[in-house]
Amino acid sequence: MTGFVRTTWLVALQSLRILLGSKKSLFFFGLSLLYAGVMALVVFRFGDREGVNELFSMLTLIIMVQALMPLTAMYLSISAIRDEISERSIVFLLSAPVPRPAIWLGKYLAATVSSLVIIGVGFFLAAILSWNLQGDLRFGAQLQASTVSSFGIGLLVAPFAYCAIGSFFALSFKRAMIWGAVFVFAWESFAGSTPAQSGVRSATVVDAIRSIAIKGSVAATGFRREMADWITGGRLWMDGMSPEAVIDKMVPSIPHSIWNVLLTALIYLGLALLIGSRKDYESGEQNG
Amino acid sequence: MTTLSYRLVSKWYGNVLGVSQVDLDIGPGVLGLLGVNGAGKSTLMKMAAGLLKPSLGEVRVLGEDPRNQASVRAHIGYCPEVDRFYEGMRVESWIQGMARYFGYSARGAKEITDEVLAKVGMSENRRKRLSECSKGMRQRTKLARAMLGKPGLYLLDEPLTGLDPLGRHDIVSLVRELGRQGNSVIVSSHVLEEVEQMTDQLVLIHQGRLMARGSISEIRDQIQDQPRKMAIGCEHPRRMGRELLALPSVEGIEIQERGLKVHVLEAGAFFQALTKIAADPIHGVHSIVPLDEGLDAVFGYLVNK
Repeated sequence: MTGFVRTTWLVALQSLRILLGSKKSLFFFGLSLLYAGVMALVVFRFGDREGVNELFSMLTLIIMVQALMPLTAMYLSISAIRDEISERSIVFLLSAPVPRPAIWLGKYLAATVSSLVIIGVGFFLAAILSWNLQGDLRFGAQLQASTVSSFGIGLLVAPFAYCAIGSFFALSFKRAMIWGAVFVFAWESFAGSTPAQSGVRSATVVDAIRSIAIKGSVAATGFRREMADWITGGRLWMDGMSPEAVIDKMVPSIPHSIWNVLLTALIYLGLALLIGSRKDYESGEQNG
Repeated sequence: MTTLSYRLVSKWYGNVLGVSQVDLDIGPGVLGLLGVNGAGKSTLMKMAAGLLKPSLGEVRVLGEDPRNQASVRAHIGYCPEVDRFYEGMRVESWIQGMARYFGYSARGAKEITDEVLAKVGMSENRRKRLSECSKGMRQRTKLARAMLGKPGLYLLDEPLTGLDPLGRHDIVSLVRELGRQGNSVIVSSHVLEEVEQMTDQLVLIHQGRLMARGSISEIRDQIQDQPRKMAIGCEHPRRMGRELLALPSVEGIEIQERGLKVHVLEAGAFFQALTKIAADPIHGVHSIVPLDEGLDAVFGYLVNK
């Protein structure tokens, strides 16, 4: 077991160095910083009218939770595994005395940490900028810790699931990037936005992350009202329900959502390790 | 002592047959794995290195399954033909990183890196980035990596590819030395001369099948009944040609200025008859040279058999 942990750690460290030093990581870093910049600009321009908590919640939901986090985690986790398989440099690891699950687990961990670092930098920069701007310019209510922490928790657990799904694609399919793109754009974006009654939405990762954010950001009342309206499919006022009642009744608790995300991660990671242990990743057809 | 054994091993890639029914035991010493591109050499090596699992049969290294037993891979020094690394890394960092997977501590990895880079003549270029290395340097780096675990079994897939003459000489010497030290060294190549420089023990493989195994002369003996070519130097080639053509074991002759070339159908019967004919001084026979004792010719026969 010690050997397994040691080799997993070694693979993770080496992969982390390679991933964080790559141009693709730089690209996602750029997008993460761009989000922070957009946040600062919007808060500076509209903070006094809309409220900092509302703007921070809405922008983070749209840019980070629904787009940048799934894309970054999916891309990096697929890239960490698939690049080496397609370049065939994976033979050096596969022929070393390293158990196969340790290789794939190490790469999964490296992709997860890379995603956390890339997204985390942009998120905390955005939070600091928003907090400073509203402090200096005396915009409405202050940016509350509950708003930042609820999104922070969501973004902290999300890469565990997305990277597990990405690893599963990378180890199962040659065209894993296409599968990853379909997953993010079709499943997470489309299925994740279907009405709550259909039940499909609850099978997406993005819904669990959104639930954590909605449930936890108690200070962003405007944001919660919008979300409650969206959850009920615009029937909130017709049914005469309060946003708080809708959120209490229809949005799962934070621990429940975290458990959902981590369970998804465990299932996909288990499948990925199982497939990765059994499948050949060196065709051997090129030189006989 | 058997280091590596293949038991009725077959491997398919979809509908394509990579290796068929290979049954082979390999012990200490250098063994050349010879075959044209696509013959199945790399597939055999990859199965021994634990990269591929056989479709049928079993592969064992020191009695263990290299695919499922990670620990046994510490005894295998695999030098693949693939030429892709972590290109941004320096040679020594890459080797050191790889050494850690073989169980070395950070300090131990540094020491073994010094040792293996010196062995393959890469000490001076250790600070180079892998992307800046020539084909020959990359080949040496892969060999250095193969020596990390101090293995008992070396699997060297086309190790001389891309090396300059001096580099070839160094690596050939190294391979011989590894064999002398009691290691099992399997060297694959599709170039006959390369293998001949390293060993006279061969396995010939063609279209995934094992064609022959042994020393070059043993393999030649296995094809005793195959057609052969002889060059006979004599004073009166036409007269001798007439006599030879009368033999049922002779398929044809080519008259030359100071001798003739004979195409033999059945070597045993021909040599018996030739002894008598050549003894007759009237022909003035001064030389008999077999034209197809070379590895090329042997391989050609076996492939066309």
